[in-house]
Amino acid sequence: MLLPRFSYLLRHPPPLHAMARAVTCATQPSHFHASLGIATSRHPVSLPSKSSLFCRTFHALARCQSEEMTRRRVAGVRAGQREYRKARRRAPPKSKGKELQLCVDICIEEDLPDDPEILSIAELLRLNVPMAMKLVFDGLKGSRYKTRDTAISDVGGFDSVELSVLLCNDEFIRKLNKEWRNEDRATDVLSMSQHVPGLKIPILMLGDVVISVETAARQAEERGHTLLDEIRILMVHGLLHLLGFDHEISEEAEVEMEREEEILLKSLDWKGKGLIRSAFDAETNSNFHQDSADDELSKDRKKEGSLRFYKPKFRYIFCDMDGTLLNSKSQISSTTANALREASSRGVKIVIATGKARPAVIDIFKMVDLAGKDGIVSEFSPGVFLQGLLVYGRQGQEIFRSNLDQNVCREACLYSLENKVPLIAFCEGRCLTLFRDPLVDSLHTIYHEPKAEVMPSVEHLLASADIQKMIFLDTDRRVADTLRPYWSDATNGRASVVQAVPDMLEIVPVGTSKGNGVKVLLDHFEVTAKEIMAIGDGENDVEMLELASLGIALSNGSEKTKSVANVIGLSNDEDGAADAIYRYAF
Amino acid sequence: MAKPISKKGSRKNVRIGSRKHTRKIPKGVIHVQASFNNTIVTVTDVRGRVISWSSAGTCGFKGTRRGTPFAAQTAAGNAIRTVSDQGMQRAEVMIKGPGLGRDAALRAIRRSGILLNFIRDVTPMPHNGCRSPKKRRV
Repeated sequence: MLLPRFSYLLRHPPPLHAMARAVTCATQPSHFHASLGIATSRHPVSLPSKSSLFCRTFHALARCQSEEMTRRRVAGVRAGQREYRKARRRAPPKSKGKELQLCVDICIEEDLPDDPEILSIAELLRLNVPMAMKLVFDGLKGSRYKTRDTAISDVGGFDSVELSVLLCNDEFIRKLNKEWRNEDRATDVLSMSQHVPGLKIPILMLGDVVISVETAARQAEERGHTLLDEIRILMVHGLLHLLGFDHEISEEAEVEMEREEEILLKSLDWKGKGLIRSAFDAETNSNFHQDSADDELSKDRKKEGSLRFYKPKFRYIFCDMDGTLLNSKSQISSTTANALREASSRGVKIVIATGKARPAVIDIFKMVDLAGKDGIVSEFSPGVFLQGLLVYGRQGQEIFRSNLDQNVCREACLYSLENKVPLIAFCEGRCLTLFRDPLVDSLHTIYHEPKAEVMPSVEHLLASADIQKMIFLDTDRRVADTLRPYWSDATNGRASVVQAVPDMLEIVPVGTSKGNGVKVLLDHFEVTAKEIMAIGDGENDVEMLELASLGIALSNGSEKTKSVANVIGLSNDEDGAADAIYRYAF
Repeated sequence: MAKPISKKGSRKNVRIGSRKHTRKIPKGVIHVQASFNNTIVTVTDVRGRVISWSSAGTCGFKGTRRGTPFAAQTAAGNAIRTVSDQGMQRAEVMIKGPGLGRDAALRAIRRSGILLNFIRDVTPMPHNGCRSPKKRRV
């Protein structure tokens, strides 16, 4: 009766399943039943068991009485036959099976999301890890390493080698780090050895290599390669630790391990430097960073990539428009558009803070397909417009409005008529003026503001709508020499004079600024400055840059802006905003 | 006359062998190697020679179930049953590794009836990656 079952086992050895999901909870009822079923029908086939069975048979045979001796003899005969068959059938597999079997279990921890990228990486590791193991075992035969622990030297005496690779998230590896190393923080890779020296069983159990995918994703981003590349590097590092290398015990050990890492990565043609070299280079870069900041900034631009597990550094990026997102042609370049799209896809919200009206901003973003409900700007998105005179919060609701004093408006209109200086009044989404002028038209054609409506008289203009701000347009010199001094006095404390662009003078309500608008919006969002990054260029962006935890001024901006910024980026014509987003936001 | 002599001699030899066998393994060491994906239980004598061993894989568990506590319990049960039948009475337990199966294997060993002199966790300190210094902001 036993023979057929045994033959079945010989003919169909259980296949090795490489990819599995680690179970962190207790065994479930269904598992129990399934396992029980399997357990019921199991037939252990191991040398020690066979040996002990043989001994037991012999022992029992020796002790039985004369009456049972006959039966035992029959049993003995059967045992003999079985032995014969075993030996006979084993012959062919043995001749083939001189190769060492490398068992690699790739496990994905339960709390990691079901993500196609992780699954494909795990699938690739099933092929990659045995290759790496084979290479490193070949390298072990020569005893040229002085500092390696030689507990594992010759793997030829084993039938199979087992390695367990577990991909997890930061929380899981932090718990392991805390429990086993007393360090309460996440790390990239942990190597946990289970090798028992001198234990002569057919399986060589190397241990576990635990890799946090989230940490690996961040490091991949920093080092400019893919997540798969980084996980391979960490796996090689962990594997070398399990085989006795330890870069922390001495300088010589570090050199030897680094060399072995480089050999493995090159032989396998995998991208990237070994982990020890990467850490060293990072330190070098950090020092070099202080010496030559500008060089470092230009060299160190980060690459795009899809990393779903990586948490961005900031939740909001406040962006100016003129001189920042817009180039000198008042357009958003495709590079900048892609950067905004990338940031949005990673969960960073772009908030526009500009002197423009909202319809103008929407028109500009339409040109690069970033307007609309799913885009950066729409009637349903937050933003700061008209230099903080209009602030929209969640779902685009108006949360702040500040109107210009009526008397100041009247005086400005009269001044415009008397001196023939073109003037535009901003009323929420409309632009009003008193007479046609090429400068007024340019505001529409170049800056995409709403087309100005000509009002027949001052009274008509004042009665049409609430005016948030007014702009005088003239030459740079006349704005600086005549208009600004006059109106700084004439407003007499009822309004403020701001100059965002050299050829425009803006008259805005007192006490309001883009910075105030941003502050109002932050209160509305209930977020702290830690989560805010800001990019600007003009003098009116100073408060916004100071308000954010990271303020970036483009190199084309005013000196005052650059002096308060944390970082000075490229100019708007060099896609400085895109560069800043890739470099600092993720 | 030759036959009776031979029979008697044969009986004596058998008895001597069995007695020697019984005395051979009263004490042992039980090694538990618990990774996240597998658990191996090995029983050796005090000099380190392997008497019996079992793993979740050899018990027929595949895939995700190899790392479960139940698989570890089954593997431990199989390894212990063999040596228990041979008369092992005392053992030391050496546990290595962080896997889920370590506690289950230990429970199975306790329930086997073998007296445990002590239980020792010989898991070595895990190795970390390199610490990269964080980049400073300008």
